[in-house]
Amino acid sequence: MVEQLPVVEEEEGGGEDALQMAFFIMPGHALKSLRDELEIQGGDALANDMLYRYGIRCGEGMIAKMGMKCDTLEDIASTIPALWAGVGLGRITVDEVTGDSIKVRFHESVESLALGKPKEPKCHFTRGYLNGMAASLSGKEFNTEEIKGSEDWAQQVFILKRTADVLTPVVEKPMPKADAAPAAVAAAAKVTLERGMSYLVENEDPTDAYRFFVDEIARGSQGLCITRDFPNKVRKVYGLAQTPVLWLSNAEAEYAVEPVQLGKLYHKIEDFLKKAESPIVMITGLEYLIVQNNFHSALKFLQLVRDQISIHDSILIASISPSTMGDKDLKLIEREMSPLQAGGG
Amino acid sequence: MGAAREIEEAGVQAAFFIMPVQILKSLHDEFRSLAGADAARAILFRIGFSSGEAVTRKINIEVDSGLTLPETLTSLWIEMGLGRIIVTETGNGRLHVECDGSTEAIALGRMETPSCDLTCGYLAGTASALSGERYHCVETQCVSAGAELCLFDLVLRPDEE
Repeated sequence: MVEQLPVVEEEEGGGEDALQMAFFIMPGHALKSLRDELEIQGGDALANDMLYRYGIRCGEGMIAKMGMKCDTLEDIASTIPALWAGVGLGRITVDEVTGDSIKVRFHESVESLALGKPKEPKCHFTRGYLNGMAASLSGKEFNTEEIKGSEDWAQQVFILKRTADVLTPVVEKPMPKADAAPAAVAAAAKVTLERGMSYLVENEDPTDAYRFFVDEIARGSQGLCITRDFPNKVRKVYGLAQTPVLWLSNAEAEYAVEPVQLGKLYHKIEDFLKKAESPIVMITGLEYLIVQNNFHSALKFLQLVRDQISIHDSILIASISPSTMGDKDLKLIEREMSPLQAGGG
Repeated sequence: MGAAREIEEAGVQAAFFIMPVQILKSLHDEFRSLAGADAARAILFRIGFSSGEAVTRKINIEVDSGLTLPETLTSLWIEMGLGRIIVTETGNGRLHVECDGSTEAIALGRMETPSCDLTCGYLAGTASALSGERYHCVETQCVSAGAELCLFDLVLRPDEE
């Protein structure tokens, strides 16, 4: 069923309301200009990656503006062609819908034409745009691949495949002491964290925040870790085998979230909190979110997350490096949260 | 150019797509990080210029005796989605542009200096395509740097004057 929702502002973390709804127009040729400039700066791979990410943001922005939601792949498959007609990147039809994927055929891809009809998968902006639309319509993660739709590449086919949910709440299985990494073993914060509260750990190193988080996980809380650190490293160091870890990164990975996508990050946290029992959320490196966005947006994001933490009787632990912040900005963040220090406090 | 290629080219020329305004900040940030601040400005200007030219050609609007260049530019700009402008002629082929609600400036947030580089290029490309002469554009004040309005000066490039 396709549901028309009240329009949700995608960037709830900040920005002007009017801006969230605004679009500007670009000619098809701009895709070639953009690609050329990106290639000059960083080569083919970088251009592919960046165009894909720009595409995702555009697709997500489009759906945020429409305020639509789909329950099934069939709904998505019937909705995307109609919406796509307004995007201006070419004419599409849906070839087939299988258990976890949708096959979309392009008859006149503007990106392909702008790039001189390459005989290889090159429509990364289009691929991202479709992926962003499908993900936003469903609230699920998708991975989209481009393949040839005809022998001469006059047509392209995009396969939108739903990926596994990386945010399923779990109760972490206790690790055998012998296997536990030193940092996890040392997680012995003699502090009882109160549900419904948001805590701020001010330290140049996020280790203390991790220790509080791991300690709560060991007590049976279902955790969500949002970090700048590479997830595999976090899992190894802190013994988080199953706990969902979201990576604040521009990398193309199903567990990665772009740091500038505060609205998307907020929705992921909100979804997790709805599904989890005894949830706890940790965000390390608030300063990184501030640098990647701006202070106002990051603060607004934090305020919204804090509200969700209260509503869902959860716990938030956020770490920040105080030396990277101005006094005034730091005080504004401190006002939103309770201080938390290793060894109590 | 062969007939098939001409048809394809016409297809691309005719195509527009829409982009959410938030993408502008990403473009600024990533080009700045890739190429440095000055080069990023030039890149965004170039992309804006070619876009302005292409959009104007597609709309196939021309300045004629009924409508001046400032009037045409003002009315055409409404379609772009980059803010509302008022254009006035200041002599010697110069145009002064006041932009209220520049979407690029709002998307960028607080900056130290005028930063509507894509808009600058877009204005120059549009004015150039409308007039058949080569315009350059400079932003003299910007909402992102604390001003109430963004102001631009469009000037004919020296070799075209």
